Amino acid sequence: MTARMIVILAALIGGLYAFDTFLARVERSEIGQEAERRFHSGLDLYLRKQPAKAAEEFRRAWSLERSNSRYQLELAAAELEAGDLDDAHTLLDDALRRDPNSGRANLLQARLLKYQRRPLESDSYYHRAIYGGWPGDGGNRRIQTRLELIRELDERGDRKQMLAELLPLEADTLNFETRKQVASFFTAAGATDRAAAVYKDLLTQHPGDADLLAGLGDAQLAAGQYAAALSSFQHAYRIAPARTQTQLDMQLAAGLVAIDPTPRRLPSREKFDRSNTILKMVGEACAANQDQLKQSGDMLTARADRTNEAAEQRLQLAEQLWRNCPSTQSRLLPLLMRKLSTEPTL
Amino acid sequence: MSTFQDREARLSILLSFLIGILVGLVVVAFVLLTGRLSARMYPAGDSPWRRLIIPILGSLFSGWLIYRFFPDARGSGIPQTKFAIFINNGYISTRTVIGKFLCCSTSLASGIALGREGPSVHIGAGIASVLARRAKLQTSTVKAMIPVGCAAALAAAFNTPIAAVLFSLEEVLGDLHAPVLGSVVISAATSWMTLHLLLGDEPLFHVPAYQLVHPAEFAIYAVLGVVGGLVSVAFVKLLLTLRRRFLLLPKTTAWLQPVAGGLLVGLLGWFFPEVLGVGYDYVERVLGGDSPLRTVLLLGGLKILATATCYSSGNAGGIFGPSLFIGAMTGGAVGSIAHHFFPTITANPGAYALIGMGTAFAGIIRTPLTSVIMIFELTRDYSIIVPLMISNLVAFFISARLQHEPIYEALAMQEGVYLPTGEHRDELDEVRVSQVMKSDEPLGAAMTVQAARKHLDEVQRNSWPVGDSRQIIGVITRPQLDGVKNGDTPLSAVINSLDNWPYLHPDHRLSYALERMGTAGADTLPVVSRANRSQLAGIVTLPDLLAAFGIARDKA
Repeated sequence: MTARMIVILAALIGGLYAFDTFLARVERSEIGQEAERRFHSGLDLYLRKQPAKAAEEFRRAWSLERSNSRYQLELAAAELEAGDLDDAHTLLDDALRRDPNSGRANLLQARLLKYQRRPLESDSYYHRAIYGGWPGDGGNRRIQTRLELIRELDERGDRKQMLAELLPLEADTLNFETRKQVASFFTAAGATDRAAAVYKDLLTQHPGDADLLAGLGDAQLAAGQYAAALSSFQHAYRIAPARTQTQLDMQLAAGLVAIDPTPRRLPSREKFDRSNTILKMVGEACAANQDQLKQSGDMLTARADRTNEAAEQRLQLAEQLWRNCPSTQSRLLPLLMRKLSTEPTL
Repeated sequence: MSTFQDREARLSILLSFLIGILVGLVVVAFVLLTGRLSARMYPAGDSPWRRLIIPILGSLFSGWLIYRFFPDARGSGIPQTKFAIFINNGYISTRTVIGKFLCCSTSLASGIALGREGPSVHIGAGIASVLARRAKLQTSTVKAMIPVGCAAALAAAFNTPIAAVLFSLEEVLGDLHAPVLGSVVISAATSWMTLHLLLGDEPLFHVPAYQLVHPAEFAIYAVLGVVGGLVSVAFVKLLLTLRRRFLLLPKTTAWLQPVAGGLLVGLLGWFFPEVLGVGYDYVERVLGGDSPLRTVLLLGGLKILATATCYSSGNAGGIFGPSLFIGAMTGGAVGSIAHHFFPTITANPGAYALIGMGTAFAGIIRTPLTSVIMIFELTRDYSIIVPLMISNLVAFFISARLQHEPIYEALAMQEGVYLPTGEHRDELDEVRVSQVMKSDEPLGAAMTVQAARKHLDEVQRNSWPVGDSRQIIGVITRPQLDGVKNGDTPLSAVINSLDNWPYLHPDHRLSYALERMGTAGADTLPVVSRANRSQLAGIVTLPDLLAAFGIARDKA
């Protein structure tokens, strides 16, 4: 091998390397642009509620640029929406293997497990998502993820866990809409005082907000403060008279005020009459226990003095009947009976 | 002499590195250039007219280039590479390398349904040949450098360095024990590193993790092997038949013939864009397991038609890539059907598509070992090996039974060139000395020189063992006998001891027996026991060996 040949070879290798590097750069750039175009097209379709078509575009984008985890995760999200759980599972497995701390990947995995009816594992991935890594600050994404988990817990009726998830949110700086949601969840979790406190705080900033007043009314209803709830609903109705739900809530609160036997200064006769009415309503709603039903019928037809004790007897029987009662369509009785079971009536 | 051989050996090693780097760079340029050209010819959202016109124009232009300037750039390049090794003393011209690069870039970028791996192999072999000749290496070393270039090219084109080494030995050389193994490994590794330096660790296909759902799937993989074998045979027979027809056309039309492929691909591409080019994008989708059965079946059939027409009409491009496409479609179809009927015990159709790729490769190219390793390297998943082996071997067996000549040898035969097939060599290698030796009696040690001369005249041989039926003591040759003046001299006084004379064992291969006869200049050799060299097992003569090879018959 001559020196001339070595020089020619070195020049050839150098020239080819430069040419290849140039071509590789052009390819990366063009493929990147094409992938980005497909990705945005996919996002557009996804927002227009066409997840299957969006998944096609995301898949194409991801096949062009495999290193882009954003494409992969949006593909998984679209496939989840389109109901293609197997493919989503494969993609998320891969994404989590590459980055186990990814907030978005953990959130999607939580949703996948939720769709697969594996709630405990799903909750665990929600927590990983909340404490995982998100692009930028990620504060808002963490809050939204926690709210999604709370919504799931609400649907499952797990009020205790809901409250446990809500309490950390009190420490976060939340925007108006999120605080409204939090207050509503507090009501659903049974923390009516906290809910009312949040609503009242928000009302100092937005006194004319009918939603807030209605929400406060709900919290007060759940807390057994029927008169206050009626007042809140009436206020909301004055601001937004077209809201039919507020009208219904107002009627409910008025009904509860009219039948509530617990106010301290209520005369004995009035308390007796209200107890009689409650027993009659519960008797009509609950036909499960024939003995108790007969007992309530006897009690309602028997002559009795309209005393506090007689009222108390009727309320106790109503509570016994209520315990074995199937769920009813009415909102009034559950609210009232919950209050009676927690508050002394005398 | 020894110094000269040392220099050759050192230079060969150095050249293997250089070939690896240079071929790696050229193949990466080839792949990237073809890809970018194709992207410009078919921009996103293109009109169907483009898909009709561009393949026609591409095949017309590349056909003219081939006819006018680069006649050796036609087709895949694998048969031409084998011509270089077995016929042309390792010679591939620089012009052929340049022509292959230009013509294949043009035709593949225009959407012709052929692959880039075969041409890459030819380009790699050409670069190796040119470099070895420029380095003034001996002809035998130049020949030995051809598989070195092939391995480098395939390692860069497929991103599968081990399969590249195996392919060079199994298909190109037809000998897995070839002495160039070291150089082949060096060049494949160097080329692969060059590829990684430029493009990173991107596999050819991104495939989901493979899983065997139930042992009963092995039976379905065997069925896939049967189907894959039959599809392979259909493809090969169609391609060879069409090629035969095209070869009957007047030579003056050779520049226009590739347009037949371009026109067909254009028409099919109008309705099914997936048929255009090598189609790896669509293969990846099928490997993902989300393609409907009807589409997979249709595309598999159309690809067979398109590739067979494009190749036989003389377009530049290979059949590696299309084999993988056809295999993926076949596997996808079998997998879809199996998954439909046995959803609980079968994997996603994508897993079958993956195995199907190897199956078709084994059936069409007839390199079962390379195909197993190649798919293993593509997936990097050990659990795929056993299903792959089952399916590949079934396909290989069926293909070998129904289409005797492997595709590259059959194509070479159509060109009037008879290449030695690996299978034929294997068959010969399987014949051992024990199968052709005879139990003729040796000459007695007490026999006179005169009597021995008479015996050699009778049997028409120039040498013969000396001893008795149980023990051999040496060999006598005609020149020795002729050198003795006294005809009454006993043979024991003039014989060659076995210490100085070649002999054979019953388990030696016939090629080795021929080699030993050539070295000794004798047409008869004794066959002795491995346990006791003095014990004569038989006698082998040159006519018997030649008869075993089917070359000549011993008239005597």
